[in-house]
Amino acid sequence: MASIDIVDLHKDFGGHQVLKNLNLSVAEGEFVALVGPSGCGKSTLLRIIAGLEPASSGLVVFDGKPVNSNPPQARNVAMVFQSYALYPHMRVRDNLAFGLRQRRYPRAEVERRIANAAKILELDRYLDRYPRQLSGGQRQRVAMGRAMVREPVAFLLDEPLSNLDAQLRVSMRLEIRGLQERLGVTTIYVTHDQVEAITLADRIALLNGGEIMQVDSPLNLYDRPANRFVAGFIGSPAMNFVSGVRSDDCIRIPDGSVIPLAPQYAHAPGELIVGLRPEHLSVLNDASSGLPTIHAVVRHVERLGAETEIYAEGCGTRLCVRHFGREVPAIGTPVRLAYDPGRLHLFDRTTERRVTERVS
Amino acid sequence: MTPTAIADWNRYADKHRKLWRVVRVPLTGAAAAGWPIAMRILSLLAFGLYLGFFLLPIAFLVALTFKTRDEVLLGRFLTGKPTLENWWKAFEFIDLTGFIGHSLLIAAASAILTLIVATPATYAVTRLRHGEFAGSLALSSYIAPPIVALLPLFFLMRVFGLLNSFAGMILVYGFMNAPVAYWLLRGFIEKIPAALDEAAWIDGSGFFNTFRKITLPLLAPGMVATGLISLILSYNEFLFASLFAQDEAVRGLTVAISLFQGDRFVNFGQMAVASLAGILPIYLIALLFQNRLVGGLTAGGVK
Repeated sequence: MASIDIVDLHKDFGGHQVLKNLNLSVAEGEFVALVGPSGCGKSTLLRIIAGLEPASSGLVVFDGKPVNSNPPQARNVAMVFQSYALYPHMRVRDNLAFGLRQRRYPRAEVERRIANAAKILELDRYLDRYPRQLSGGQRQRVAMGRAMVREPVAFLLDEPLSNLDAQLRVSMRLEIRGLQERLGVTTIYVTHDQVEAITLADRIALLNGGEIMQVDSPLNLYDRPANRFVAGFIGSPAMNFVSGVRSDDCIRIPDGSVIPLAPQYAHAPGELIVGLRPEHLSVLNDASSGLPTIHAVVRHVERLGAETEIYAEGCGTRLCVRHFGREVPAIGTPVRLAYDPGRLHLFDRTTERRVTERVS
Repeated sequence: MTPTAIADWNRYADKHRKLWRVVRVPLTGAAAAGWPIAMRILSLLAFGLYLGFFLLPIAFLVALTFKTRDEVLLGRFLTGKPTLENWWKAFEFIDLTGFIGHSLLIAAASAILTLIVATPATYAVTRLRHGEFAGSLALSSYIAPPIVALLPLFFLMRVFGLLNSFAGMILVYGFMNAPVAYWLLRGFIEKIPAALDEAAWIDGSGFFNTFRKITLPLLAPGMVATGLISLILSYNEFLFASLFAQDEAVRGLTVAISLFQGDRFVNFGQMAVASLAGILPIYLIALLFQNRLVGGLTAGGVK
């Protein structure tokens, strides 16, 4: 086990900057998820940590020691690839043993560790099969097993669940978290799936365009997104954004209505973006709730069973409302959407950064 | 043909796939597509012409072997009074089996040498991204006409005493075919996922060990195909052999065939016998490994 630090990391691919001035600290035993849209550089960062890709500048530090010049063989990390990368010409047993044999573990120890991993991952019956004779989920387990048997300084997982079907993904997610808690190994987990990241990680590093947007606990990312990108990426359905102009103690939005501005936002700039999560909007049936409202017209309804997503036109944009209930207004009906002013997110329109509340 | 008959035919053809594959498509393929009789006959005719185009030289060669010397000069395809004289003479006057043996030995050994040189080199260039420039350079050397290399090679081999030796021929062919092998192997190596190598590196396996334990076993089919193609190229080579391996002790088939001439005339009949005997082993190899060969020829081009 080790702590991992990334210091001022840059990566160029033929003049194109893939990672820009990246800094990230992962504590010993911590589970950090690297999340972001495809092409944001998260996999590249993982490959640089593994030693598969050189950094253009900056440091990769394990336990206080820079490892930039170490080849992957000398870093003692374990990696699970998106494609699993099982050796197709070796049986499951030999796939698991390969890393141990390379490090010249005694035969009895190799056997013991394989047996142990096979038991935990329920692979006992498949040890003498070839990877091609296994299902997707079983292959995934073998890939996890190959990482487990080695006692590495860190687990690096590159979208390990993206090739599985939805049900299997959920059960493997639970297993991965359980395994990591049991082994306590420092883990860096790359995914584009925010649900995976939120459910698995102690902390999430959200990347976009080769830069870290925010590193924080999953709930902080949801509650206090550092900028508009984070706000739009975390949460499903995505946050609604309404642009507005500040006038004294309220925000004037395009359709002419106003949103009251709480006193802790007194320092907010003139041009703003207001963020409203779909789950914090509700369709108002009577006028008695006391909450401020905005006017909108229902345009589209998606019924998901447990909840219903209502898409309505209002404030000069399309707003999504997460509605818990089956009774929804008909398409074309004008509605009033109530919101809690305490749950608004405010962003500076020019910098797109969060306007933080000030307690005075 | 009725649908059942077509199904029977297909089953039969599948069983004897190699032989019947060529026949099946125009016959049953056309019928299955619901072509009218006239179209089917036309397609068969076209197929016959196509086949004839490739078989005619062989048929001509076979016809030649049964003709006397005078008849050959008349230029007729068929002979009035066939003779077997050419057959026993060809084997009696020269050591035909010996020459074919020399050719096979040189070709097989040089193919192995080609693989020994080209496989690690191709791996290094395509997978480890070292010396990509050298890879292109090796290929460009293959573009030049071989005769350019004839004189320098001749003197080089004379200095090292390699003229008229198996070792010399094996070295020349082994290195000569390395660029072709590089080109073919590249396609095969690119088909092996790079993540396998990376997984092995992370597992602690060194670069050479990874090549040996992970890449080589997966590359074996590609190496067989590449080896076969190198073998065929060496077996068929004439230019270098005619200058570097004239001595009977190392003489190969291609040179032997060219030497079927008396003082005043060429022994076409015996030459044809030698040619037929000579193409037999290589055709057998091609027939036995045709799937592998096709894989080898398309690997470089199709991704």
